Amino acid sequence: MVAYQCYLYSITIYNLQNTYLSLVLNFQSKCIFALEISSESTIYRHIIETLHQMKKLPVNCPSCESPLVASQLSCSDCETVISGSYSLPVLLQLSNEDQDFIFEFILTSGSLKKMAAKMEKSYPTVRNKLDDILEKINNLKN
Amino acid sequence: MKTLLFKPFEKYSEQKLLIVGIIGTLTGAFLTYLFNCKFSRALKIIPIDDASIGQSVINSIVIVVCLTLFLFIVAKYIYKKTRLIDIFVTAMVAYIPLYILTLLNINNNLKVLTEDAIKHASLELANQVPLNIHIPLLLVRLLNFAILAWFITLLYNGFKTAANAKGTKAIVVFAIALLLADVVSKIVIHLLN
Repeated sequence: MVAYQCYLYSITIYNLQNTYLSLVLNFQSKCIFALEISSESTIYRHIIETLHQMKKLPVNCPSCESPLVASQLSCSDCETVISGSYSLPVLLQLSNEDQDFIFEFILTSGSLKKMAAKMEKSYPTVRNKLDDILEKINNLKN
Repeated sequence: MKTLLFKPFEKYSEQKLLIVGIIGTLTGAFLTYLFNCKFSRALKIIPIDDASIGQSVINSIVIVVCLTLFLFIVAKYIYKKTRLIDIFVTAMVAYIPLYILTLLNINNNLKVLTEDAIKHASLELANQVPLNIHIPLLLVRLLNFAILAWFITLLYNGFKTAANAKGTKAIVVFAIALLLADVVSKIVIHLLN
């Protein structure tokens, strides 16, 4: 679930099992408009891409390019804040595209054939993508 | 459109490509017979007098097998997970554009043009080649070059996808495989015909 707020209005986007999006527009915390978008539609893809761009986790320092670490974690409920130095998991250091690929890979139970059919790509293209990601992960681990 | 013409191997499944490849190869072999042409090796087409459908089909099969064999060997060398089917469909589909060249010999045009050009092949007559030979010859060469470039681009893109090939090493082994396939196909076709 992703929420964006602007003064009295807020839009909440529920991404339900990657099958459809539910957009809810609230005014003063009261729902005034709701819309469901199927994952088959073009607008779904646009919204997901935009959300990814907006929520992109920076993994490298914009100043010196060194890997960033998480230095503060906070609880969204009670506002407890934990400080420290936690390195980011390898998977989070991959690009959004690669993360989406891994996510799809898990959803299809690791079947590259199913993934190829879903992504409308050939089997070797999908297999090459997976190999490239494995290579990136090995490089990041080293 | 760009994907369809130059990178179909990235998008379409091997089943679809196999069907297109088989239909394309058989149609191409028929065109080769129909317009009295012969693929004397993987990279050479010549006009002949007495083409036969059996010979045309055998030549096409020999060329596809040679391309598949050598590309598969080098693909396995650079990438262990390469599948034979991907290389096979690459060889078949990439070769389809070359069959367009058979159309140049409709009504034996190419054969007549070649014979006329041979008459002017001597040093004394080389500067007196008439325009009605010179311009069609130039167009044939340009078309040959364009189709050959299309074939090599398709073949390399298919090879790259099948073997996850990257970098200079892939280009070098691809070129070696193509040249070997060309030479071996020439020998095999010569022995079979």
